[in-house]
Amino acid sequence: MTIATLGTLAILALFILAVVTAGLGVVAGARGSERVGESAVQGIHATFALAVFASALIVYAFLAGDYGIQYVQHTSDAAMPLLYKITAFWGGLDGSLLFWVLLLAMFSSFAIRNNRERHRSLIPWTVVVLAVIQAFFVGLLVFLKNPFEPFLLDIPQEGRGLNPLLQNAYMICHPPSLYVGYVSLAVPYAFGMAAMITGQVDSAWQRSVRRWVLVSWMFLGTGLVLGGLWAYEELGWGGYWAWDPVENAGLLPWLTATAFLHSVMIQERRGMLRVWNLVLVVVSFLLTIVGTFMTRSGVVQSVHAFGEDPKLAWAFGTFMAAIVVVSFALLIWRLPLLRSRNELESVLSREFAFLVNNWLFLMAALFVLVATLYPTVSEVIDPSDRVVIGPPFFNHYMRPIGLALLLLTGVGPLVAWRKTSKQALANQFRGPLFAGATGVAIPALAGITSPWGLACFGLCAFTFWTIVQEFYRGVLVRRRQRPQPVLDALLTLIVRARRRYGGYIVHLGIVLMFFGWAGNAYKVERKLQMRPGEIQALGKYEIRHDGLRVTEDWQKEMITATLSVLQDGHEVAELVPARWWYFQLPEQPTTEVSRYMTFGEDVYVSMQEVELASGWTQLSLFINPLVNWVWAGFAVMLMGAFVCIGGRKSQDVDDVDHA
Amino acid sequence: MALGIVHKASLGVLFAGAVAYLVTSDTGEGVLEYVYVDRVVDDAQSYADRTIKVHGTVVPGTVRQKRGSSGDYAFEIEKDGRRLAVHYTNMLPDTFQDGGEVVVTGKLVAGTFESDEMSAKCPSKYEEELKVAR
Repeated sequence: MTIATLGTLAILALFILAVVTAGLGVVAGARGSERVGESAVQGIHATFALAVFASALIVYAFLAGDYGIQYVQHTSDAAMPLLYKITAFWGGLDGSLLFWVLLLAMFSSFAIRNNRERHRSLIPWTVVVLAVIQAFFVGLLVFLKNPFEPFLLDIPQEGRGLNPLLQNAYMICHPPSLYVGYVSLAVPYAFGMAAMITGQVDSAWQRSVRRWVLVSWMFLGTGLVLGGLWAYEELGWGGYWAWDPVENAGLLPWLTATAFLHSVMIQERRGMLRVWNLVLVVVSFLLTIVGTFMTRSGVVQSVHAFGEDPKLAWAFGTFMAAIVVVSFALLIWRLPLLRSRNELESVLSREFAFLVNNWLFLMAALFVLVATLYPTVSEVIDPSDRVVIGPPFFNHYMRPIGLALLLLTGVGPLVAWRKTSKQALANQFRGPLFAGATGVAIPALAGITSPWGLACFGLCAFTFWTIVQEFYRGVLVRRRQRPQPVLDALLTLIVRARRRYGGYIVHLGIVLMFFGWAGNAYKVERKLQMRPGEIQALGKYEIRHDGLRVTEDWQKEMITATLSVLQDGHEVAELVPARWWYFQLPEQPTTEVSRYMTFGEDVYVSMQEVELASGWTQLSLFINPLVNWVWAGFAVMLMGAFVCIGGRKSQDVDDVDHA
Repeated sequence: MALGIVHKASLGVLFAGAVAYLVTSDTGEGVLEYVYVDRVVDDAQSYADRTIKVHGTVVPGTVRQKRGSSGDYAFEIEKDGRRLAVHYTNMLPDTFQDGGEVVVTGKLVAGTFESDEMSAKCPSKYEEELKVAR
């Protein structure tokens, strides 16, 4: 039996298994039968085993160079390094769907195993929801996009290879990271649905999913940042985020998941927003499906993709509609059980700050969704009336929303639950307000005039100071209780209330990222053409062209320019932008960026064109101020998230609120 | 005790004001009409002198470069036999090809499309239609 046949049989078996598991779950849930429930759980684990088998087969096909399988032939060739052969697994549509199935099977299996004892009654329905989602994706593989589809005639001897742009380390990590984030959000959704079906809408379901959402959130964020780094280093246009539909698709569930991580705290402490939290879980999951559809079907880039693959579009459309109808019908049915236990008492309360934070996140998500889909929808309605929505439009609306969120990041921890007294208010805000004013004054004196830039610097300083103040006060309290070194006090403080201080560390990361974005206010961009020996000015630097060299390896021919970065006449760095011509795809050379990184800025250069005979070189040069703080800030954010997750189970029932 | 009516009303006003300000201060920059070459050529009048995006195929052999200046090209793009002259003043993207599909952003001025922004039909990040070279 060929791999193609075996693989096709495997996904067919997977489909049947998923459907049967869903059926068993329904029976177990409706009759309350333990034994059937046990079989359904075994079904979930078996699905995982079978998904691993199918994935192993496709990876084997790539390694063995089985070009009789269309998908393998389309996305790999014999010359590709081993690692890229393996990652070609998710390099195209069919394989990435199988990868999705593998991840979902894995997460389902883990989630069911971890929660079986604690949330026994939710399990059968959770199994049903997960198995139905699984059946949908496996169904796509079986009926529309079989990655094992063989060539029937004229089996090619060689593979077509993976686009060189994708042969990059970030591309190995970026799609799987986004995918893990996407797929893992199915688990909270399944628990939320199970809670509504069984009527056990108290906090139990949320305790089991809070960590999941946090992990999904981390992976989504990592995927987005890696995508940004890839664009920054590989595409050569000097930026990392362009509100591209594919990027937006990853951002959408990240925004709603962030909202959920905040609002779930209000539910825990005050019993409010119970409907809202369910809505956020449903919407986050829905957005992962929307995002998968948008990016995988190509619908957003061009409506014509509908025409090319109408079945896929219909399948996704029906699935999304079913999610909306079923989820919201359940929600409306269970509304009487979901009444809030408390009411908002004051605008100067943490509840209110969280509420506004939630509105803003949801508004942001809604805005990005509408702006991303608008061109497609308008074209469907009237093909002659097509528009394109570019970054300036997104920035116009998202900048103020982002800054408002940054302000809330600072304000939230300063106000107390329920109500803040005037006295406490003055005490809490004095330091941060002073810091904020300083944060505006210093860049203004340094000559920065952009109001957005100044506002961003000011809010960064404000929020930064609120975080420092929280840590400072916490350490003070600990040292008063028991004299100890500052560092000890700080560490015990964090360990004793991981979620709280982990959250502050996440906020610190956010502040650093905004600090990095503020640098855009004084970005420098120049396009130059130079010959060897020439010197040109770039901001406070001078750039000297030191010559070109041509090299070749087994995959490509490379032309590399050597440039010196001079500051006050001294050489501070050497930049080596290059253009690579892959033999496989010579008409599309790639641009290899070179940059000189410091804490203050990047000097970033990409070579657009080059003529060897005359040495004539066209360069795009940028000074990107503070850009590295964006990456550093994200690393801090991840650290904070790890701190939040790291707590023992017994501990995270309630972190003590010292304030 | 719930929030008072005054609080709610002032919050509403604040929110509405913020949204209204954002919408009125939106210059429309970033939202561009997207048309194919044939429509621009057939209806040059109505498309003249405003920023639009034009989609077409580069007519093979029409690409000329002005030497000695930084990114200054002239070429023609076409669809269904309708041709439009483009004057492009920027770096060409990596994916630009003689005979390939491009989308240029700019203004139609006196019969020539003046552009400084282009995206060339790029292989989708994942699914590429590669021609087997060699």
